[in-house]
Amino acid sequence: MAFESFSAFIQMGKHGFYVWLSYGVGLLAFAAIWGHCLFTRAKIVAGVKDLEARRQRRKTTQQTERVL
Amino acid sequence: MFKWLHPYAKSENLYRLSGKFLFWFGWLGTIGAIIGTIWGLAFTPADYQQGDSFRIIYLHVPTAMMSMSGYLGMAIAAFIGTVWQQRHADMTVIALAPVGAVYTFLALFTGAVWGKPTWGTYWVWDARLTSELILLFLYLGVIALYYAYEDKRSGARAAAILAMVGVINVPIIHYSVVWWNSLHQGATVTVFEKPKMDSSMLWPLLINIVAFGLILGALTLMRLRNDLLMKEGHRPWVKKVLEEGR
Amino acid sequence: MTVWLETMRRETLLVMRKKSDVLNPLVFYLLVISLFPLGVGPAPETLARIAPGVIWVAVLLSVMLSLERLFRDDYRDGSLEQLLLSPHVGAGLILAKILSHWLMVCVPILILSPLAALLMGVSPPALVAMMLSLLVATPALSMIGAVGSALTVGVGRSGVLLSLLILPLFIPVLIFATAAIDAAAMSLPYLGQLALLAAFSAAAITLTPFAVLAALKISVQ
Repeated sequence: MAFESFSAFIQMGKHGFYVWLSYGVGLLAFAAIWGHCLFTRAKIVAGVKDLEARRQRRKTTQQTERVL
Repeated sequence: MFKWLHPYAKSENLYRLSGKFLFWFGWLGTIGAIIGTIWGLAFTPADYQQGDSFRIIYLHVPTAMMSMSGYLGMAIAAFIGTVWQQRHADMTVIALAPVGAVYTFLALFTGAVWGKPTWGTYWVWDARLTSELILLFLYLGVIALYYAYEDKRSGARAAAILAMVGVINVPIIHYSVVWWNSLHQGATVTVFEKPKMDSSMLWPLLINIVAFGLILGALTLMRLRNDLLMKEGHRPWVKKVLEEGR
Repeated sequence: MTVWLETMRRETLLVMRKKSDVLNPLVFYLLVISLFPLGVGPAPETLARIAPGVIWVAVLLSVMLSLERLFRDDYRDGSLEQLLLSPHVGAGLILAKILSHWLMVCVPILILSPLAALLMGVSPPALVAMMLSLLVATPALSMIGAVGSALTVGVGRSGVLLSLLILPLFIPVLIFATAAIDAAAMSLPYLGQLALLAAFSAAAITLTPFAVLAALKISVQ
């Protein structure tokens, strides 16, 4: 451990602002791009399921029409 | 080459294979980055000249290195896509470009923030920062070209050509900027180039470089898989794969 | 060879019919340069100091402006498609087309440059270096720019996109060209910089026609 106390770790010998700003923005950027990927995926999966459901509905209507 | 690539030219196979890779890349990368960063932030001794501000190196150097390697990887994918007409390679180019742009942005941002305590100002026309800035423009050009096309398949091929033209220029730009910087030598001190780093400082850096590379790969694969699902959403394999919950 | 000459004759004829395509970049060039003394003040030593950079940036911008139309009209009236379908198509034919662009746009800029140098108060030795740097480096600009132009020809309004694609690639040319002029102004040797610029041009002439051809094939589908 290079620091004596937790507050010294936060302060980083007067450079705390720069160090934590860098790492904060870094973490934020990775979280953002990761979240964006997950969000897009959820949207696409929902779209695919929607399409599938519609296809299924159409099939059932066709079947009922044939029966009628 | 084509025979070797051929099985992966089928979207389903590529999707499954990239899923396996994504798992390993994602977990190893995340764990590595956590270990490397905590090690670097808390357990390495402070630099005798710069104090604790040097700890930004564990974010700056990995993102900078991986932004350049990412461009190279993008160009290799573009080459495969153009020469062997592999549509998925073109898709990889587009999957990689925004991730690489984020890495480049982070390298620039951390470089500027590091510059403040070291040089006393946020921006110095240092050779490395300048090359990173130009690299960011090159990435943005590839992304913008892709989104300018209405037909995404043509857009991906055009972006691939631009990536290949760009990669020939990257070393030329880099060395001309280095030369330009040495010509206009101002008050800049090359703090980024330490002749020797103590091994206690070097280990977390190496871990982070590898980990950030793996994360770059993982994010690219995530985007590639999204793209595959979107383009082939109407195909039966997508339904099958989603039902398996992958 | 006849195909070459025919292509160039056609390009020249087209430009003569529509002179504004060539004249506008030239006017733009002089206009940009005359804005700088108004912006930074007319002190001769300041102007002479920034002259190489200002003139070269103006050259880059005007060449870029002229590039937008390089394949545009041919694309719109369908002759680009004919060109790609013709049996003579190849890197050579593309080269002829870009060469005529160079003759029609870059050479007039070269001719106008002493006037620009006069406006910026460039000393005679620096002027010689400037003319030489323009002569050996503008082919590289035309060639690299043609790639960007070919990539964006199928895209609607491409002006800003084109600048994003090609201006970063122009940076090495800018660095070495201004360095050559600076060296000449301080009466240092500048042949090395000129040789590098010539190398850029040679590399661009040999490599870019293939990229242009591939890009045009994507745009015309």
